[in-house]
Amino acid sequence: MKIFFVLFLFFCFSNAYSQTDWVKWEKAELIYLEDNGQLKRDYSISGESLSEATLNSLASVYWFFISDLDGDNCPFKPSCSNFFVEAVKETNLPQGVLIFFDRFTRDLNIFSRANKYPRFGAKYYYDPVSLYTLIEDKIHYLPPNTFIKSE
Amino acid sequence: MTKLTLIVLSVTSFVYAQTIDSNSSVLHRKENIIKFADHLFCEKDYLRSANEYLRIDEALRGDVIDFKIALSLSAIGDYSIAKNTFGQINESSAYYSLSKPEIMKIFFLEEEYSELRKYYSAHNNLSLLQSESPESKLYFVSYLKDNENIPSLQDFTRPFNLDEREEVNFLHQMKADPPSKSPITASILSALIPGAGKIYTGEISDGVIALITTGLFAFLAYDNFQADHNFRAWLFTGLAAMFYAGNIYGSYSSAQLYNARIKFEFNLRLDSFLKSKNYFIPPYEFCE
Repeated sequence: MKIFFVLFLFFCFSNAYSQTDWVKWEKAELIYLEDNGQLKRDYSISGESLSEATLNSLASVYWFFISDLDGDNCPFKPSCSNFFVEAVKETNLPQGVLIFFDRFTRDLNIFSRANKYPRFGAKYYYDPVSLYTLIEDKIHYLPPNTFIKSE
Repeated sequence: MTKLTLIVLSVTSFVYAQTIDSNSSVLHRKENIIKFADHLFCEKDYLRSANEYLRIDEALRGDVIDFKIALSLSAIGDYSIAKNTFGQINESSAYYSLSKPEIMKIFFLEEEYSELRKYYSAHNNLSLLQSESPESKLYFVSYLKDNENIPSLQDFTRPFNLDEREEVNFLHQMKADPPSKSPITASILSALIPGAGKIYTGEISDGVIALITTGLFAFLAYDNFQADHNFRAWLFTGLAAMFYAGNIYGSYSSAQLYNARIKFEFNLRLDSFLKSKNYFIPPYEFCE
């Protein structure tokens, strides 16, 4: 009887050992923190030029004293403040300011967002700077309500 | 005794299983590999069907198998090898004429439109362009994708049959005269009346908001100047000026975005038309 039991165990173990697919059914490491853009902010006050350092300092002050306390309220991705910083970095200060004021005007329009912008995650509208630099090759049109996973 | 028999049986079966020469198995004979590859091909499992066909020795394959390998590779996006394989099909073969539109389709999918037209010119008489062949149709449709001067509507639509002509007419018109908006006109309109450029590009609510915002800050500036509150007056003047200038800039980019949307929708419609027609290539009878 013992030998049957040993043989049975041997077959069971050899079969079980050869089934390596079970690895993928392991418990996943879930992260319950919300993926919040505010957590990824770069509060540095340095920059490649004086204007960039000034801009980063102003943005960091705004984030630290106002935006972080107020909460994640901007409906867009990147948020208006990040958009401004990115616009200046991608173009220049005067053009970046114009791009920002245009974004700010669009931000005030609460009526037609849903049918205009692609979606970023569950609650943001995706509106990258590259669409507004006036360089046609950088414009990659995405239809409204397309879901974007990462920038 | 029973235990010993069982042990011997299990050990023998293990040893026997390890000694089977898989290459001599009936399953790995050429005709069975072809049967299995054909099955995979008809199930549209093109990656595995190509791998199965490629197991057959090159000298023993024949044109049908080479053609199916090329079709499978084309279907999985391995375009350069697929193009070479189609190109190796002998001129005397019945599959030679079928391989030409397939090569042109690959050029199309690779977005090599001028190469596609060069290939057509090198392998066909240009007087055949008016015939209803898949090659002629792909030759003309390639003009819808790049920036070359598009042929006249009469020449363009001649190879297409009546079912296709209505859509081709529309696509030709969209390409020749796209309903785009001028960024400069949009900027000028916004310079004259804040928000008018946005309304011109179809962003009506953005235009109205721009008009209200600029107007509101301009009024606040005027009102504060009237009341001799100079600091506030200049602050609101600056804000009104920035919203005004931002709106002119935004109208320009809004027209660019509008044109990008028109182009996107045109390409979407063209791609969907070509897919529905299988790039004008008639279906093969391999899986019937």
